[in-house]
This record gives sequence, C-alpha cells and structure tokens, in this order.
Amino acid sequence: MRTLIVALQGLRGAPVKSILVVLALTLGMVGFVAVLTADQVMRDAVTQRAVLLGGNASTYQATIAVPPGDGEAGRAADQLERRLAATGAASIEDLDVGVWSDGAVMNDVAVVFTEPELRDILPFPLVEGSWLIDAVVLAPRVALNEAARDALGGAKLYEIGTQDQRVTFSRMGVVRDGRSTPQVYIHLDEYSRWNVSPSAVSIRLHSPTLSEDEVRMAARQLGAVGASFTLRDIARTDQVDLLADEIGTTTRVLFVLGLLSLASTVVGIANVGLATARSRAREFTLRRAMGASRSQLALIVIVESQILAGAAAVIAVAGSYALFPAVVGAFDAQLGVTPPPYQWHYALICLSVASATAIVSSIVPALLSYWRDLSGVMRE
Amino acid sequence: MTATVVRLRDGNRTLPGGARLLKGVDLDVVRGESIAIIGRSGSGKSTLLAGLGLLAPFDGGTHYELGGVDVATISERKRARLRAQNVGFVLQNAGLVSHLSAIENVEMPLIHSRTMRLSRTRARASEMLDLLEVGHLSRRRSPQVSGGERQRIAIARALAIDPDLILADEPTGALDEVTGRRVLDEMLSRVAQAGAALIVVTHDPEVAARTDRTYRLDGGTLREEARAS
Repeated sequence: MRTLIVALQGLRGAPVKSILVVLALTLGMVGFVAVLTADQVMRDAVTQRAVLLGGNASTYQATIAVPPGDGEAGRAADQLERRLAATGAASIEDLDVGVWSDGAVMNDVAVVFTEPELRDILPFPLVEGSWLIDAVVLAPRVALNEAARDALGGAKLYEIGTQDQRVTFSRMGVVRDGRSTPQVYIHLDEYSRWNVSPSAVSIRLHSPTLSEDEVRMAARQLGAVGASFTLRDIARTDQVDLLADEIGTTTRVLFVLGLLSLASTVVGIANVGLATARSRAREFTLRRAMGASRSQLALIVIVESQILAGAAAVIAVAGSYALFPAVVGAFDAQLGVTPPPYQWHYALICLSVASATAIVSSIVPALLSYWRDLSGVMRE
Repeated sequence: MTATVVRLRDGNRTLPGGARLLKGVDLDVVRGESIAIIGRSGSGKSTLLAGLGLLAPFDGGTHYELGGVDVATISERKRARLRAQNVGFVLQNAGLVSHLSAIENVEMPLIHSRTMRLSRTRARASEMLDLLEVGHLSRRRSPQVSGGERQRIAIARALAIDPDLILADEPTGALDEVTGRRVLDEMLSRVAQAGAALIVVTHDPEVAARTDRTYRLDGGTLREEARAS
C-alpha cells in the first residue's frame, strides 16, 4: 500500500511524462497490431483467393509402400482418397523402371506413374497433344515434359520397363511441368494392368480442409483394418504454400515494420524516462536517506511503470480493436475476401512489450540512485 | 534511548582520493542539547554531519554510538532503519521533492521509516505542518512557497518521525536575515520541545551563538569554541 501511494504520487507529480509514456506505448502497440493484422489479412486473402479461383487449399504428397501385385498401387491410393474424402493423383516412384531406346536404357529420363487428376492439382500447361485420360485404350500412353521430349527426340513410341520386361508406349502429349529434368508420365492404372509390381507409390491428396495429421491418421486406420500399404512420408505441396512464399518478402517487411514500430516506442519511452532520470534519482536518493530500501525503490518503480503500461494497454487494445475493422475493411474492399477476426494474441504481445519497456525505462533513475552517495543529499 | 544521543570517538574520514577530512574527531551530544559546527568551506562539516546521520561511513577504527547503539556492529540494513527512525534532516535548500505537496513531503519519512501505521501518517504530517504554522500550505508544492516556508516544511518533515537527533546543514543559508532568524527560532524551540539533540552546521556566527555549544572544524580536527560570557 505504501508502495502504491508513492508510485501514484510519482505519476501524478510528472503528468506530462506519464501522458507521453502512455501515448508512446499506445501508438506503438496500435501500430504493431495494425501491421501484424495487415500481414494476417494478406495471408488469408491469398488463401481465400486461391480457393475461390479453384486452387487447392491444401495438397499433400504421401509416399506409401505397397506390396507386389496387380493393382495394389491403385487400390492403396483409392482407399486413402476415399477415407479422406479427398481427390488424389498417385504416382509411382523408386522403381527399377526406365525408358529404353534402341535397346539401351535412357538413364537420365525419369518415369512417373500417375493418375489423370495430377494435372488438376498441378495445372501445368499442355504444350502439344493431350494429357492422360481415364478411358480404356488399347495402346499404353505417355505424356512427356519438354525436357523429355528434347531428350528422346521426335520419336512417338517408347519402350518402358525393366531389363526383362518392356512395353511400348505411344506419346499422347507434352506438358510444361516446370522441371528441367526429363520426365515421362504414364497412367497408373495402365501401368498396374501391365503388371509391373511397384515398391512405393506417391499419392497427391487435396481438399480445402486437409491436414497432415488427418492423412497420417487415415493411413494408420487403414493399416489397422488390414490395408496393404505403409505410410512412409508426407509433405505439403500445394499452391497456397507457393503463393504464401511469393508474398513472404512482403510479410517479412511488414513484420519488420511492426518491430520497428515497437522499437521506436521503446526508444521514445526510454528517452522520456532518461530525460527525467536526474530529478527522479535525486528524489530516490532522498527517499533512501529517509529509510526507503533499494528493494522498496525498485518496487515503486515497477508499480509506477506497470500502472502506465496497464493504462496504455487498455487504451491500445481498445484503440486497435476499434481500428481493426478499418484495417481489414480496406483489404476486404480491395481483395473481396472475408476479413480474419481480431487477433488477441497480438494485443498480448504488445502488453508484454509495453510492460517490459515501461520497466526498463523507469528502472534507470532507480539504478542511478542505487549508485549515488547518500551523503549527496546534504549538498543538494 | 539513552540521554547521550551522539557519542563519537576518534572519528576519521578519508576521501577516495586519499585526503583526510576528519582526524580523530570526538563529540558528545545529549538530549535537548543543540550544538553548532562552524568552519571554512570544504573543511568537512557536511561530511561529519553525513557520518553522524549514517548517510556515509566513518573510516575503520572510528567508534560511533547513536542513541547508545554502536553503529559499527550492526548491518547496513539496521543502520538504515536506525537512521530512518531516529534521525531527522534539515537540508540546506530544504531538500523537498518538488512534485510532492508540502504534506506529502512531510509524510515521506513516516512512510519509509515505517514508524507509524499508514492510516496515521497523513494526520501526523498535517499536525507537524500546523505546529510549524504552515498548515495552510499543505496542498502546495515546494516551488509554490517561499524559501522560509520551505525550510519550515523541512523542519516539520525532520520532526515528524519524532527523532532523537536532528541534523541541520546550513538551515538558514538560503534565507534572508529576518526569515532565517525566524526559522532558527522555530527550529530551536521545536527541538527543545521534542527533547531531541540538534547539530547545526553553519557559516553564520549568529546562528552558532544561538546554540548551546559551538565547535570549529579546522584541519580535520574538532575544537570547542570558547563563548564570551
């Protein structure tokens, strides 16, 4: 109680300083919340826009091990997709399968066994011909990327398989998949019918709400009921992440701006604190001469600073909450997306920073008085 | 508390640079007694006062008893408490905290020394201001009152804890002659009523003459001045 009385006396005794500190804290906190909110709105806008434009909210590539057997890879993919209510496209990896030309394997050409939906998930442009389709056809087909087309020359038929067993495929089309290494895409079901036993299947699963945990859970549940595959690896590969990466620089700049806003607040408050440090140090020295202990002084300083920080926090949170619709409204009008809710954890961050800043700036005069010679009060 | 409030033997004080300000100072002051210490500027008067008020330590080997307590044998914390509860200070420029009102300044040692319940400190401070006839200034801050009024408030603050020892450093130094005399009268009269011991450091022979004894500090040693009868 004694500490509180002295702290309140100190605050009331320097009203301009108190108001400046509260003002600086408030502006810093509001600025920080506004900047981080803008950052959050941008991220949400990108996600929502991607979904609205038919992109994938979340896409995961799950690699599963499957036993040898006709159609096992396709069934594994199908089970996982059904369980997750997701659409998917499977591709087979790690097979000792290659593209052969004139009896010799083309080591630098990779073979990807996939489903037609892959191009929906990764909508790489078609350069010529057509993409793989589900219709049953008599001749096995492939699609190439541009690098593979260049590597394989102008041939329309390719031998694909192992040393012992190869099948001739016809070229359906060429896609620009963004890869510089040669890739040959083959329809997974056709590949399964061809009866080469895969050892691993890579399945792309996508839906608006898919999460990594859900995929892992589904794989475990399927394994528990006897499904013939094992989940090996899972990674997020969707375009939302890519878009988020693209705006990453902007968001980082915004975050730095937010930090600068807080830093300027800290410097401003420290400046106000230091400007009055000498007179406060004299007061504290006098208080020490009259019986106040160092710990009492520290407590007075802390209480004073926390009263200021608390007042600033109330105003700042109220201000940023009131300002929030205007900030997100600007994005809403521009981007046509649903604004995110008010981020309370930003306010908590601000409160912590305000609290620490207020203590640091107020502790200086107390420390100065600690080191002062008490007999100095006789000379002042 | 014994009748002897201050008992100093072989009081020495050496500054960090090596200069010896006090050399074997002996001093006894009893309750109700007032003494003056005079001397040139820089002779160590304020240093002696700071040592007696436990604001700064004497050198090792000094024996100092304040109210019968050998200060060398107690911890710094206990020394601080002893000072807070037994020593009142009247400083040269009053030493008031400018952003506090008169009553808050007087209340300050009561709050920090914890000699009184918090609920009583305001009443006690008010009582002391009334005693010094500055009760009507209780809400004013020190820049809003005159020099004489400031010193009265400072005296009220020094007396508020009901101290055994009051140390006054040039209490009238910043006042005009008339105001200084009135303040001194006030201080001597209140100290006598309170039964405290008073040590005044001054340059003013008139102030010194009003006390019971006068000592001169010269070359680090303290000698009692003879009084003309």
